[in-house]
Amino acid sequence: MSNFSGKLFIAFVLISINFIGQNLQNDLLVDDSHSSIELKFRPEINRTPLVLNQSYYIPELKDSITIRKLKFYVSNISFYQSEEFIAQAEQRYFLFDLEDKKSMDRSVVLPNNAEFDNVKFTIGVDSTTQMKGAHGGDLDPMHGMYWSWQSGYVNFKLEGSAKSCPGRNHVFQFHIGGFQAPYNSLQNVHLSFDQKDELIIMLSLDTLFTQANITQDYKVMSPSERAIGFADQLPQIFNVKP
Amino acid sequence: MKVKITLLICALIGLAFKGSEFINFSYPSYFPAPVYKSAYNTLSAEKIELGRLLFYDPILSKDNSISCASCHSPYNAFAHTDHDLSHGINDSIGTRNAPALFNLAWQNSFMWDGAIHSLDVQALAPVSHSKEMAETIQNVIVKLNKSEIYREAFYDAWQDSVATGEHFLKAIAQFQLTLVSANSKYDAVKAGELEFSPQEASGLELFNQNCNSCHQAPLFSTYEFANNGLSVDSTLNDFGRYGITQNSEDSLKFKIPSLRNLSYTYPYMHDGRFSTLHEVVNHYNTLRIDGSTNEHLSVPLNLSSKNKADLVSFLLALNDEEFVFNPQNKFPKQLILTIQN
Repeated sequence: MSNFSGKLFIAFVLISINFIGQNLQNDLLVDDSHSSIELKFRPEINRTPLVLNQSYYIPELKDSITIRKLKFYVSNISFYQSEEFIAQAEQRYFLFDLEDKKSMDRSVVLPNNAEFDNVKFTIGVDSTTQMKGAHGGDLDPMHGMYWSWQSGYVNFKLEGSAKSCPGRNHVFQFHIGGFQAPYNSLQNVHLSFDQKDELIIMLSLDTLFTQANITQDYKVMSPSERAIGFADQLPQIFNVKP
Repeated sequence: MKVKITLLICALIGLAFKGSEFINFSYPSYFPAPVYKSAYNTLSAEKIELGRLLFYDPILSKDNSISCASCHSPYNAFAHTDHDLSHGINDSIGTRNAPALFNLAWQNSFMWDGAIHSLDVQALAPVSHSKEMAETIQNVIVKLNKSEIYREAFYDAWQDSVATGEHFLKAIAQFQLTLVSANSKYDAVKAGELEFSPQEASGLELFNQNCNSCHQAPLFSTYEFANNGLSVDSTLNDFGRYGITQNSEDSLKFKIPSLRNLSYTYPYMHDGRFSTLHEVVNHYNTLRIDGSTNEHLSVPLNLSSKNKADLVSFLLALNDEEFVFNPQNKFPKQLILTIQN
């Protein structure tokens, strides 16, 4: 080995050691400064956990409903201690899909030792992000939550059936979206809770069926006045498990 | 060891060159700045080339029969000549005339009614339309991921051989962004290389008086929406922009098309109802004005036969033959391999 290549080899070894060392340090740093909170969404009907394709009786409707699809976006999750902003979830957009059990339990990375007692998030995808065109990850248009004929994300999708629903095969379909004025369907949710390692948020879907009259309005699939009306009902179905 | 280092340096230089390969997106100084936000989808030669492959590949349709180019042919300035309404899968006929594709980087909305707000997501519409490609984006991605050629092309473009919806859409958008038409006789005159004939010069004057408000030079459109006085076709009942905004003021408004490349893009109007430019000019010449017609169309043009001929002669000076026959925009030969497989 010539003198030059010898030196080069030593330099390489030193750089490698330094590199490994730094990586270790970085790992430790991550462990030191970040922790995570488990965020779980649990849809229910009449305080019973919702299972897809099972029938649930809704007394106010005098009918049973079956849900076959529930998918929604939750974005910009921010944690507060009373009024003070503490941290925002690193991942900005989460797609929750009841059909994909994994998607309903998510880890939210936060700074360590962060104390908080309330959380704010939006249901849907904000217009600034929508204007930026195509996105990947949870926002990839492949996930069946993007309108092709009139561009924009479906913020909240709920499909199922009920005998009293006059639609074809008694099917109701609510694809709630729209981000451009005057039909911006984005909704804000604000919930208080006692701090724990996990945050379980219930979706009381029965509330929707006691308010939306599926014997008359059972199909909303475009940005419209009716979509806004449906979206307005959404924040109240979210509540923290006591 | 020295040899190895030299090789490594050569490889790095090679990579650098590959990355900065000539990107086919340029426009004349008298064009306004593009409105497309390239910060969210930075152009690269490899992404453009992937987009070109996808644009010409019928794999995008349910039965692998229809590609984007089926209705947007390069020889027709990426329009669909001879068909008033375009036809897609199983000879299904749609409700509108396929618009020509060029100078898309200067447009804020797409489709005749502006239903799409970003070029990056536009391809979803024809892919999933039941009368166009009748396919799902999910299935397109499954098909692409089975193809060796696409795995390589996606890797070259995105350093990830797995196709995703995002990368698929952005690549198609990139190819379409490179479809810049700026080499007509009008452009040569702007550049001081040619002069208009007396007839064209007279036509330009008429154009400036009567057409330029909506078909503004140098793009020859403001790309806004307007009611140009066409009555509704009762077999289609297409009310244009109203279908998107549900605002009655938008009834019968359609996106103003560019007047470049008219010789290649007939028939004209959103439903292709006019097959010649003379019919188009006659429409504006004898227009019945009512309260809903565009404010710039307050009176019929009332042009003489000579003036009509002059106007058309100017319009023909907006044809861009170089664009239509540009080999960089044409069918990519690599596709023959995928289609044979």
